[in-house]
Amino acid sequence: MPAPPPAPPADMDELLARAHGLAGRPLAEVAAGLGLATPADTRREKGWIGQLLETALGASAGSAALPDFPRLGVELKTLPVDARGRPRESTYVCTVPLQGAGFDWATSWVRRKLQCVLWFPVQSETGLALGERRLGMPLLWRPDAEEETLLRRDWEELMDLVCAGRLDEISARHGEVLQIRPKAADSRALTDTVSGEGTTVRTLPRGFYLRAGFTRRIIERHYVVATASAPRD
Amino acid sequence: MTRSPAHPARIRRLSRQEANQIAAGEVVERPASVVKELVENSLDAGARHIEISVSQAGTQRICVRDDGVGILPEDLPLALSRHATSKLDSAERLAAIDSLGFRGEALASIGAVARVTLTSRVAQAGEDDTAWTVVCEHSELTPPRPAAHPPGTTVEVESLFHRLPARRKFLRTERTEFMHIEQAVRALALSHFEVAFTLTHNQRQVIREAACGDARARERRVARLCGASFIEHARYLEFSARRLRLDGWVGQPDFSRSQSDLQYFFVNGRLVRDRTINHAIREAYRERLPEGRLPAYVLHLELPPAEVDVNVHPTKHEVRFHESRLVHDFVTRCVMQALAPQGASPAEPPPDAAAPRLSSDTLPGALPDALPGAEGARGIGEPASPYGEAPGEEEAGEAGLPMPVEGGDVPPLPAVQPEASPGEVVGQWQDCILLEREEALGILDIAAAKAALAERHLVIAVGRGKVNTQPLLIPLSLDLPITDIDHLVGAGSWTRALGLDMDRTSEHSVIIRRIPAALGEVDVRSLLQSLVAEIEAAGDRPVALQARIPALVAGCRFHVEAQMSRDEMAALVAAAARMGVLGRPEVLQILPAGELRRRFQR
Repeated sequence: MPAPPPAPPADMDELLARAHGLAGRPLAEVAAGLGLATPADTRREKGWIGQLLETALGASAGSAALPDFPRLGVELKTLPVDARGRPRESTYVCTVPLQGAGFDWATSWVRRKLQCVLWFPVQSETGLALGERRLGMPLLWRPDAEEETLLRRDWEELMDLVCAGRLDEISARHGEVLQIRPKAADSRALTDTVSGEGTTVRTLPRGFYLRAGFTRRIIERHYVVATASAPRD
Repeated sequence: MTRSPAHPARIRRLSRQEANQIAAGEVVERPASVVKELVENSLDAGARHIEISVSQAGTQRICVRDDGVGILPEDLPLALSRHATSKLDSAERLAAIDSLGFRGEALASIGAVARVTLTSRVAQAGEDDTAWTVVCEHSELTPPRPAAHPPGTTVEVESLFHRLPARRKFLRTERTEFMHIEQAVRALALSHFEVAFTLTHNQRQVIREAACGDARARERRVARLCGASFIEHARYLEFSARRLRLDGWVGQPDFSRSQSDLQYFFVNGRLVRDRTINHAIREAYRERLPEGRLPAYVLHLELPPAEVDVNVHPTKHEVRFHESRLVHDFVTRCVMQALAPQGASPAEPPPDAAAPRLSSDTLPGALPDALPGAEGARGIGEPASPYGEAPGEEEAGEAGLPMPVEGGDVPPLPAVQPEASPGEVVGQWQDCILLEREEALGILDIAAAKAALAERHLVIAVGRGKVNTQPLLIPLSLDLPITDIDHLVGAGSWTRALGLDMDRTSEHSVIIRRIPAALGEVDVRSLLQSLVAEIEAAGDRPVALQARIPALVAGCRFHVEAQMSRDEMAALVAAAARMGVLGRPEVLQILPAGELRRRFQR
């Protein structure tokens, strides 16, 4: 009998207890517990995993402007990892403001989104069916002074280029921990921006992403990537 | 915003320092430009070996040392003055510049925005073979002092832009600035194959290129600096016509790039970004490249200095050819011919170009995957060390003190005496790290070293009654014999003391969520099996866990990475030395050079 999706957690302890209860469980089991089916089509798996966790933890249907747990100020991020415990990909943070972008770091969206993150590692080994993938140990994370400095410097460097209308010069090589990339979802969706010459041009929407090296260091700092040999007969 | 003053402001002459700082802006844009200028000076001085070391991407320190002809002591102060150069003896020479520098600007400009120490000894100094040094700090010069220095010149640049907050603000992250430095050095190393280069960043060697004796060595240098895949997809060309000579490698169209990061064109040894040249090469690739793709190439053009004007821009990336259409035509035809299917024979990669070798050639920075375009190959900042930051580390300092232990027969802790120098890491061989010592080769067993470290940390932590634990990234679900799980569940005090976060999920399976941090890279099944064996051995007798830790750890297997990075190896060796486990024969074996000589019957 599937349990109804839980209400938003009342406090941090409740959120962490729920998260802890999910650790180590396969996705299909978590889905079944909520009366949800595991899709066979894995093209949209990342979105599905994120939604599954939101439901299981009682996240309110979050908007882009609000964190997933608005009362607690916590953002939920899944972290697909390979067999060696390394992040499979960079982590999406938020869209890049392409117009009227005169903000400063303190009030920036990136900073707000990353102020308090509940990281949820998920097994993402090739060849492992979606339903069989297990959830990892949750980690409640706030950037320390060093991480915040790295993020701020990259953000400032990148936003300087955005403000100068030099968006096209930004490649994935810019930024030590934070990068700007076109958002992959729809390469035909265009948005307005101002070119270096001052004219408005149409361009692809961009997103801020955390480099895999950044999340990898979080993993190295906080986790053991355990191995276990096969049982001997 | 201009103000319209009631009275005209007076015109005044700029001070020398002000003028220098303004002019410096043209030459010294960022740390990489300093590196470029200094290395060009070294090349002009005929250096065969150039060592570049930088700290914090050059903002803290840039040091370029060469074995060139050196500077005469009486010329040292002049070297740091503006518009002083040894490279032009008359205005006529401007028409035919055969050196990289000639404006007499570089050192003075750098001296205007940093503290510069210039030390030099002339190669063939007769009776007076001392080196001399002068210091220039923001255009203020000290008188020359004698110094110790081999023949050649060392320029040390410290505190770059420290007095120019406006300029400092434009500096980017260390990663970005160092990326520019690396790019500059890569280009310089591609420009002069006969010169050896090393580049060290924060004490870590990033580029190490010996002088290239032959074509094969040159090809290997290109493979290291531009990536093995470039050379595999490139054709070598060599043409001369009249007074022009072009040689180098052009990437075949299937190796096109989305960025212009693999385009090196040298004119008489000088890196050039020139419209004429760009256009000539594009012309040769026309139709062969998909829309928006850019060719990759490393090409050297040589022509008489009188036929090219390099005095166009301070950073000298642009040149003007006196017969530009002729040069354009020559370059296009050479490249076209090289790309033609029946054209010049393809550049065959030397058989060992990509083979991994146990040498400093395979330093991370020199690996092809750390080259432009390969994203994130170097990770961020200093790689996190699994040993340096291991929780429980704080106990290390007290490791030599006897631990208060309750009950049980506890083996005495060997006194910890950190070894003076465990030796330099040479590389990894199978499951071992090879260490170079004076007159000996050390062979360290990686798994044994990890076990010994784990044991020491765990003994200390359990003795204190406080074991730091770490969550497993993905909790492990293990099937075990039912009796084993019964034992583990029954010995709750031991599993709790170890900090194992473990639950029985069925009769024959458990889930493990946390383990002691000290056991970081243990094979978890081997840990549980070893623990079960110890529980069985103890039976009903009360045995202190601490006494059994050496046996417990001895029963564990530790993961050994097939390819540890140099930093990981160095960290493991340093931790083993600090914790005093290098004396254990299962950890380290020493092969003295004398023994080797004896075996070779020398």
